[in-house]
Amino acid sequence: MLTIQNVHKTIEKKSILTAISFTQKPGEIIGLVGRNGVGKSTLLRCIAGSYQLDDGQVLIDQTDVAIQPEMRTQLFYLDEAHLFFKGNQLLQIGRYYAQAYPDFDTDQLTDLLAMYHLDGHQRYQQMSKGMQGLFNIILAVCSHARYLLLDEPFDGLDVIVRKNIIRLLLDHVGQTQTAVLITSHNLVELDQLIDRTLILKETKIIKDYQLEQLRQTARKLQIVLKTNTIPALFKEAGRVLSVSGRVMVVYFPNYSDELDAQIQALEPVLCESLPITLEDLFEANLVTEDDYQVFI
Amino acid sequence: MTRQQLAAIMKQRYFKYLIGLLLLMVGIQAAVGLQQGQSWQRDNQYYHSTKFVKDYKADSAKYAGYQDGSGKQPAKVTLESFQEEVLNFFDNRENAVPSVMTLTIAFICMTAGLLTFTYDRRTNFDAFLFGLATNRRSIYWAKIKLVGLMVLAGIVIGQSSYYLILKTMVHQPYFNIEIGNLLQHELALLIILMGLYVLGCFLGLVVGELVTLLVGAYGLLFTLTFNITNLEDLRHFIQSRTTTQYGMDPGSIRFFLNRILDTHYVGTVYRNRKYFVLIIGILMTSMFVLWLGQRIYQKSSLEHQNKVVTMDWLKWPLLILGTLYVAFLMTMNGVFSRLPYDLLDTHEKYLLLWYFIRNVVLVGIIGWLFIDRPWQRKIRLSGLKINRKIN
Repeated sequence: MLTIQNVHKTIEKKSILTAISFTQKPGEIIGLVGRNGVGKSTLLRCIAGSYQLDDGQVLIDQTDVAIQPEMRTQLFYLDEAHLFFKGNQLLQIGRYYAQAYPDFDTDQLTDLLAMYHLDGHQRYQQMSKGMQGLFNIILAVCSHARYLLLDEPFDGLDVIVRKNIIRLLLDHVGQTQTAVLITSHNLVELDQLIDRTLILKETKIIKDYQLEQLRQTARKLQIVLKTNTIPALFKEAGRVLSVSGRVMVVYFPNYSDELDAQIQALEPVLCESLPITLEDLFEANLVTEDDYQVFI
Repeated sequence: MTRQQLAAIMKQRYFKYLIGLLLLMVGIQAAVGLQQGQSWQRDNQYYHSTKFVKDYKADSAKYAGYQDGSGKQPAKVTLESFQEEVLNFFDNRENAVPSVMTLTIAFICMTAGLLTFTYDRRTNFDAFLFGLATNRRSIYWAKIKLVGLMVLAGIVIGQSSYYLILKTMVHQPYFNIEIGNLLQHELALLIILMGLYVLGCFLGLVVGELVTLLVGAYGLLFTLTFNITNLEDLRHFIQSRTTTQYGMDPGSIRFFLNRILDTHYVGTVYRNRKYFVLIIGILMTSMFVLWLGQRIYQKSSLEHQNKVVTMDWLKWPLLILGTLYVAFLMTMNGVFSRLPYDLLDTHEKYLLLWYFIRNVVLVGIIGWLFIDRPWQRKIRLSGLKINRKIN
């Protein structure tokens, strides 16, 4: 189990992460979401060891990786903003990782490169962005590390490559019980992939949702009222996601029979339930009052 | 991760560059040896030619005068003595001059040191290394050992090639150096060159911004060659009570270093205890700097990788040391002051002190502006609340 315990990080005298704690079980796929610049990549770099922690610990099976760096073979992280191997051939890159990860499967690398029509002698920087993204995931899969840290793996990729990546990841997780911690702004793709989401806001994890449980307790309703006025109940018990005339979409995190009765008491013209997406959670938790004014 | 795995990663990463470095160092020294050997052979051919022998016998005083240079009536010198004097490859001159070859090798050693950590930081290889299943200390020493050994090999093989080539090209008795002198000369040179490599490593580790690093490191290397003389002069100046006590000391560190860096110097370089202490001091300082570098590397974090100073706590010590050094350079080299020689001649110690303090303030302000860069911070006043944003 990967345990992140009370991690603090300050950069340039500005607090980026404060008291970050969570655990990740084998086989679990966690989506780390938050607005731009909130510290998602910083958290991944802290876990991977690129950044020193100001405080806190990263534990794998209750062993602190700072004390037992051998445990780092269980972690795989590719910082796409800081890749050293852009000028290298794919097979050369594979050789670096084969030295770094004792369980690295070179045969699997060759097979996957062939499967996705990637030339092992091609240089990384000569490939398209989509192919680079795909190769990064292939490298992660072949490392056979138990915890994969993926930072924006779908960024700038076309739908075919995204689907390939998702399939590759899901197959790998299904076969090996690998855990994946993934950050992405592509919430639609992330939604299909993750079991759980952590929402990072103002240096802290403000929400930790198990998506299946959440879908049982929360409700997203499309409501048409007789007037344009937004009832106080919607703001108190939920979050208005959108308003278009008298049509409102409201997210209620704790939907109950009592709340249902209160909504029915407003005598809506229409009240129907919509599927909750990750995007709704993002908006419900991270959109500020100012942003809300912009949406309207 | 085992040491072998780490070494394999390092080899995969650096092998071709290190081979290039080795070939460059050995090639330069071998080529200089060849060129000097050929030059000596031309001289040898000339001074043993029948034309020269005939000329010499006709008017030996002309050549003896050339040899003496004192203007007095030269003593009679035999042809053999004269040939020996001009063809001896090594000599025991007081005013030894650092050879261009040694200075080039010193420059390469320093550059290799600078690149040991800078290259990986600039190419993001550190991000990969910090994620490896090993501690930073092992990574640090693996890098130092790999590059350091190659630099060491470059010096040892290069110097051996240089002297072996000369040995084969310069005939006896003109290859006039004792093996003992040569070895102690080479050992001292090795310690100085490896010291420069270590200094380069340290600077490459703590200075993240490339321009600052290059200007700072090579500026330091360049100014050090003059500053050692100034340092010695300053000590004499401060200790002296009258103008007559102040002056160049032929046994000074400057002369000693010149002899070590001069490939033609034949005499023993350890004339007194001061030289021995200096070499041991350089060795001990290099080891301390290596240890300090390890401590810094252990604490380094990639968010500072391209900053002027990669460790926050080193910002002020480096600024203070740099300020004192530059202020001293400026004072002793006449920048921002009257010519220091005037001050030294007239023993105006307090005036020199005043110039030094003034330069500390001036350089300190410039250094602070450069390192702290307050213009990069946006300070916005809103009522009584001050919001500071850092870009």
